[in-house]
Amino acid sequence: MDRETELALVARLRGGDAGAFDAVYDAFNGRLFTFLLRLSRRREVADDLLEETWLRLVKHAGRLRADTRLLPWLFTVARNLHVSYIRSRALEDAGAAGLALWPVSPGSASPFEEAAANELERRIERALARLPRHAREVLLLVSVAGLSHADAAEVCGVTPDALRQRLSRARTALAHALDEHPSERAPVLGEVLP
Amino acid sequence: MNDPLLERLAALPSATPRPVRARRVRARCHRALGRRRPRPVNRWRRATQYWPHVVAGLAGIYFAETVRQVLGVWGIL
Repeated sequence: MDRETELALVARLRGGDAGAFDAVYDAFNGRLFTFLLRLSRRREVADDLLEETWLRLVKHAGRLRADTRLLPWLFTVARNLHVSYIRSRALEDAGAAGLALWPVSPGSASPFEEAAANELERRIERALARLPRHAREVLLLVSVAGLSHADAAEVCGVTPDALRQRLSRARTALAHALDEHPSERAPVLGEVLP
Repeated sequence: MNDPLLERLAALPSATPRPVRARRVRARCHRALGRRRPRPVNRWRRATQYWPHVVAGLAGIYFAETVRQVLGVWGIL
């Protein structure tokens, strides 16, 4: 979506135009869903967070700045909702003896692993799932969702330099995860703890 | 991006939300947009928003006339 189109859509959204909402929804829904699904590894959670993201856009549409950039705006909301979700779940489950079993029982595959077309993809999905949230998030934003470093930094609330460092560390961690566990299922505890 | 590992990540398949759920979200957002669209201002409301200025103007005229009368009684005017 070019900048001119985006600015026009923002202006129409500010006026409550449902057609503009549809255009934005069609342009970004798939990418947002993929991001949330890989972050949460649970379809129902990704569905709920995605719905809330769109409702936030509608709720704030009238107060959007005229020069709002929709991609980082939407990913920031989606990412923050996921952080809040993880925190609330961690609090809920803090006293539970089976903390390490949440959210996915060991050995269960994510929706992406089940759908992965080949072994390499499956290994990457598992390695990605094994990474700490910060590392996974930055890889998903930059490499999968295709955000620029500047936009990803804005989404994560860090400086572009910090983002670059985080990306470099995440890339190294992913490479190690691929080397160390070539065929093993992903553990899940690292996902639960913020 | 020249990193083969990151390129592999970029090539991972994307996911699609369930159509039923997507339709529901879209409909819910349309309803919410409809609720927050600014309502046209009715004529009565538009008229009443000028009342304070009208009253202030009349009070000013009344006060000026009172001062004029008092000065007239004292023979200043």
